[in-house]
Amino acid sequence: MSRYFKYLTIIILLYCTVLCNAQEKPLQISLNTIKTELKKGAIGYGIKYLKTEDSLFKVQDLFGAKENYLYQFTPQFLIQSGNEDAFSAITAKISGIFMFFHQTTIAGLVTPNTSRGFQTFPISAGIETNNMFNIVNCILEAGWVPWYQTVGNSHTPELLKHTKIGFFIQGGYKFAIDSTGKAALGGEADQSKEAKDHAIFRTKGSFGIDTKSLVNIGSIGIGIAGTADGWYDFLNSEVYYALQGKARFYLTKSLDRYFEFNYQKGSGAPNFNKGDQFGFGLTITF
Amino acid sequence: MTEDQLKEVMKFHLQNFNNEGVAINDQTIHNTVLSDSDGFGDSNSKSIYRAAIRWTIQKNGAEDKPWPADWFDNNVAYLASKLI
Repeated sequence: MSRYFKYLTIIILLYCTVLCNAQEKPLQISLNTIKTELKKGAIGYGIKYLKTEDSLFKVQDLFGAKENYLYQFTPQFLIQSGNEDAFSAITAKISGIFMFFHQTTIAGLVTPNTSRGFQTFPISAGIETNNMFNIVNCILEAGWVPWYQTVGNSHTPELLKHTKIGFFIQGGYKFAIDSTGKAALGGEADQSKEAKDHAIFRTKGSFGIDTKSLVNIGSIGIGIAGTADGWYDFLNSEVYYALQGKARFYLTKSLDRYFEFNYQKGSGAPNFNKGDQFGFGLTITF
Repeated sequence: MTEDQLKEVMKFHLQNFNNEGVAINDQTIHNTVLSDSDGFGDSNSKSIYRAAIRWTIQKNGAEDKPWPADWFDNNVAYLASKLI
């Protein structure tokens, strides 16, 4: 099974590489050395691939402009994986937002007023799986992400403008597709209470902070980033969580190349593995 | 809608996402202000900026042209010239 996964990963990478030609930095690759749940040294990699429909299908994003709201949808493809027993997850989905706002007039043109807070409601539909492909979750997610970080919003303290929060409802079905019977170990193990070939129904709360380059030492900018995600599994009355903290050292002014020390407790969906991993990595946006 | 009007709208929205204190003018590169990781999913400044500009173009009666693939790495003047 892992051999097939490697072949599939190579094919996906080649596919992404071909598609990303002449695109707007749709591909971000990170490479990390990590210590995993079984305390082994491992290599972790992450791929974040964004592509708008205009490049995939030669038409613009699915987009609608109404009186005080709009909607926009875009495909996404994310991989977090690695060798040994590193945390693993693969997500492919169509995602988008509904955005509700007040209007204002700038240079004689009516436009959304982003100088004050506004509300966004992200929606996505897709699949999440691990790198053994022994489970596949089909998930529909709807959420609320208030946008209070806008510079013109004088009611929000400056520190809070480096944070973000979101609340989501997730529903779907967990398919068991493994026929090998091979058990996953360490960070790859599925530790969720969600039964295979049963429905999924969770709520999720997310908090994040990213200071970007907080201080500069010479030409290197230093900042911190972190996320905290919590899930409540309604069908199994179970709570899951994932915490991640990073210290980043930016190498460019555009902040698209950086080294980072990172620590992660809990893998999040779909495995909800409770282990931890830490390491040191390099991220480059192409 | 003129190119100058659209540039003013672009600079208005960029300023509202400008938590890093970048100088906002016709030469401002979008990727120095916007990000696709400052929110959750598509609720991020890069996606919202694009949606807000497209909403402005449509609601003010102009043609909603396809965005150039390299807009994120280029400046306000470049993008406005491609959308008008």
